[in-house]
Amino acid sequence: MRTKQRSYILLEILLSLLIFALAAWICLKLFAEGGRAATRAKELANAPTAAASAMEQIKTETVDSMDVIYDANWNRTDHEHFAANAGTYYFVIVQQSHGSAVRYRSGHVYVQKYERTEQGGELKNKVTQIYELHDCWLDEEVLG
Amino acid sequence: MKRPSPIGAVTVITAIMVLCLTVFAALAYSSGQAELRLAQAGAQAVSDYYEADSQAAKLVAMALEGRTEQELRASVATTWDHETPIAVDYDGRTLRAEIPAGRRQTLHIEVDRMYNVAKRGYEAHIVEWRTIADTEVGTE
Repeated sequence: MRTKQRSYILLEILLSLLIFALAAWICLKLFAEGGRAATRAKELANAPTAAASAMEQIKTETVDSMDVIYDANWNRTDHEHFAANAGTYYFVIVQQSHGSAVRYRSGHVYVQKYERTEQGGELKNKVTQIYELHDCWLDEEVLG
Repeated sequence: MKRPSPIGAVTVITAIMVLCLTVFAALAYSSGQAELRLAQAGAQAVSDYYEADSQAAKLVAMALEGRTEQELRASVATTWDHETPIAVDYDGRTLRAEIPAGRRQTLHIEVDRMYNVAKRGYEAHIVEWRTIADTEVGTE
């Protein structure tokens, strides 16, 4: 009688572990998906601001293109830091083009995510485009 | 003799743990998705605004070149592929346009084309360049 009861308890523990493992696996996937969505949300919240800021900056300058680098926490950093360190970086690239209308100057802004990892002593980049603004008006002179 | 219950303490504890885990996981997931939707809407609003702003600047540039209202409208008809059309009103001196900037706001511009003697050319004088929430449109 006691042996039978012990086997019941063992069976119960085994079944509970199985159900718990299954539920934990599903829940971990949900946590991970939620985390990824939150990270993407943070990127999408910061990228438009950074893009607009870079675009407003190029309006006052005479250069044809420019880029601004941000680190993983969206603090501005420089090319030297980017070249030397692994990690996540965001590049805001502004390229201007001349429109068909006279005195009209437009530009494109791209926000790209660089994930730099060290592999075999070398830094490798994985680049993803996360936001872009097309054909934005850049020329202040149009409006005098 | 009373038979032991098939559901023991281990099962009860596991059920409580699984329930808690599921609730927190669902909360984390839905919160992440809600944040993402909000950020996407914000990013789209910025894109929409700059698209409208760019379109407005093109209209102003064309007006400064001496194009007519028909030409401005024809240009808008070929380049603007959105559901809500752009309203253009130009009498050769004052350009008024209402450009949809997303689903909930409109960029309203009013620009005067004025001759600058010193520069020997036309330049734009902005009377109004602002976004209006769609509930305000038509009430002004």
